[in-house]
Amino acid sequence: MKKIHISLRKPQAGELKANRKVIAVCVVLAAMLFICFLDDFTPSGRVIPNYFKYVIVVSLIYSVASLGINFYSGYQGDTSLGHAVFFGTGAYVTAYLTTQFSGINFWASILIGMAFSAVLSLPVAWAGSRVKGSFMVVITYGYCEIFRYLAINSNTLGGTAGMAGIPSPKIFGVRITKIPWLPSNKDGFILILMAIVGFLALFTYRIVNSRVGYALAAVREDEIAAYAMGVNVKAYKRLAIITSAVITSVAGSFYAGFTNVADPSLFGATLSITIFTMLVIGGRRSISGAILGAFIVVICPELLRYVQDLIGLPFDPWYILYGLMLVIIMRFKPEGLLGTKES
Amino acid sequence: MSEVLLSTQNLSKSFGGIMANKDINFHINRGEIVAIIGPNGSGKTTFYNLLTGITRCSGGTITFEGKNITGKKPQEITKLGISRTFQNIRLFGTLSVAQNIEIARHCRTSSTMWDALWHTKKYGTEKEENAEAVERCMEYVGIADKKDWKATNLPYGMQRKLEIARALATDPKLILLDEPAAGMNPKEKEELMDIIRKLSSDGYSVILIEHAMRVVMNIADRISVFNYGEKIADGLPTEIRENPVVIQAYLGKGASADGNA
Ligand SMILES: Nc1ncnc2c1ncn2[C@@H]1O[C@H](COP(=O)(O)OP(=O)(O)OP(=O)(O)O)[C@@H](O)[C@H]1O
Ligand SMILES: [Mg+2]
Repeated sequence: MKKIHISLRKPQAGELKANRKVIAVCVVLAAMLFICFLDDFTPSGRVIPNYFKYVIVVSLIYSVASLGINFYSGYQGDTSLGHAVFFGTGAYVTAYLTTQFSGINFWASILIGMAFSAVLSLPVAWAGSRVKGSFMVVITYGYCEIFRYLAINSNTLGGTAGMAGIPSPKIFGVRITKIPWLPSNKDGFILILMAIVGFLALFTYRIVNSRVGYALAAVREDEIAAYAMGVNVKAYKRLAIITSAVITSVAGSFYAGFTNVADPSLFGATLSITIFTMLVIGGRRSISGAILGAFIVVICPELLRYVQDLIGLPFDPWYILYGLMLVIIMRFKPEGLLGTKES
Repeated sequence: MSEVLLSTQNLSKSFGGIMANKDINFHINRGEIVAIIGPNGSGKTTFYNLLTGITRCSGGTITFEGKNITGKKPQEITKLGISRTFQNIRLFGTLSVAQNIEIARHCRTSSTMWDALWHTKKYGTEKEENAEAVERCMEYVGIADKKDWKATNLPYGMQRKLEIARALATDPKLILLDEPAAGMNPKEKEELMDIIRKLSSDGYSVILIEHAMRVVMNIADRISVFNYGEKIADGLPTEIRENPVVIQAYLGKGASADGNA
């Protein structure tokens, strides 16, 4: 009888852990903000290299994508190696609209990109309700490669070179890169992206613990039983991929607005795999995990490149360590760094 | 009190050449407990799959509360008030007991992503109602002390009870139990019989597929016998026990009607 009691308490310990995770994430975010604005307090304004901030912005952009794929590959449970379709769509829609039409600003282009991505996710939903999850890996992979080839061969989209000269977004008529009270041209992005990541974290958390999230869990665990509980399985699969696509699209738009370029690799399988890997490293169905995964995959190679320069290595150590890291994590923590164990 | 709740007219299903169900005419009245018995592969589970819309029938009709529900989608049928358990347990394994039951509230609630994001009044009310329903259903089958257990970690008998609790949480009028006593020890079987009796006295109608004859003979108001996809007999337990056609079907399979076949 005693043993039973011990296992009864376990989930509550899990809850505590979850709370601790939230606090940990808040601390990390606060620390990041502090580092970013350290320049404000120093006379020279050059303590934090601009490059560091660049890495933070890119990490935040990928956090958005990683939180996006979490709705599909996490909560609904099917593996996607095609989320670059939505990232690329966001990027190219923003690139095309803001360079070709002076009337459309960055923010409107995000919304239009989201709409495009939602439409482009429907074929995935259609396929997903007809074949098993494992086939979806190949289908989604093929799907994103189609778009890469389309982008390469489209003159309107700039072919292999892609589109350049995408203007940085403006807020109330002020360029986000030139906000007078911010020390560097990256800080505006950092603040806005942090707000977006924060909102998405809250959004995800609340959806997951609601009727909609429970229905997704049912679909993931057992479709037949989900039907028997009155869940419209097809509709919820559709909802999961649309939500997932729309969020990922926002990341793409920001990527274009931040780097000022969009090229066909943004549709490619390599990016798809990267986004999926971020989620798996951090932990499927973990909000903090999705964010952590994005930061790890973005920051680690930069860090190692720095080490490479420092000690004069003739090759980039990242490519070896990256694979090694994946193997080690999957071997010892298959649920991801911040994911919850299945058994 | 003998108002028909559900009936089927010539309900049939063929898988390739096999007639898994052949011209089944079946009915159950409100508040009744009807058992379906029959040798392995006689089409009992297929019959449930047809009733719940998981499988589409090849012919015939299903009438529920006077309405033709043939061809309706499974989620629509659940909403109309038919719920079931599964022979090969289909719980949401990695989720807790309470979560398994709360999922079953899906068909009785309607809050959307919007409600969830902003925690609207509707969201709050439904969460409270669900929490009550979860408590009620857990207590109904006697697993309230396992609330936070992961479904797969429950002992087998309790998993079957959780399936009943989950079916109950959909607020059904008719509950279909597919071999609920399978894998249960004698004590659990007694508890199961109590649960089924209570369901019936609380106004639920129950169809029960079961091989354990002691359970069937004890609690069924009426028994239907399936054999090779056909309904070969229907009557009171005492009638079925003496029915030569039934004995023939079971003897043909090498078992006796009051054994544990
Ligand atoms: N999806 C399916 N595809 C093909 N054949 C099927 C399918 N489902 C059931 N059958 C066949 O239909 C027949 C009836 O099966 P069913 O599962 O309904 O029997 P049952 O009475 O529930 O048996 P048991 O007592 O073993 O549970 C069997 O011959 C089975 O092989
Ligand atoms: Mg069966």
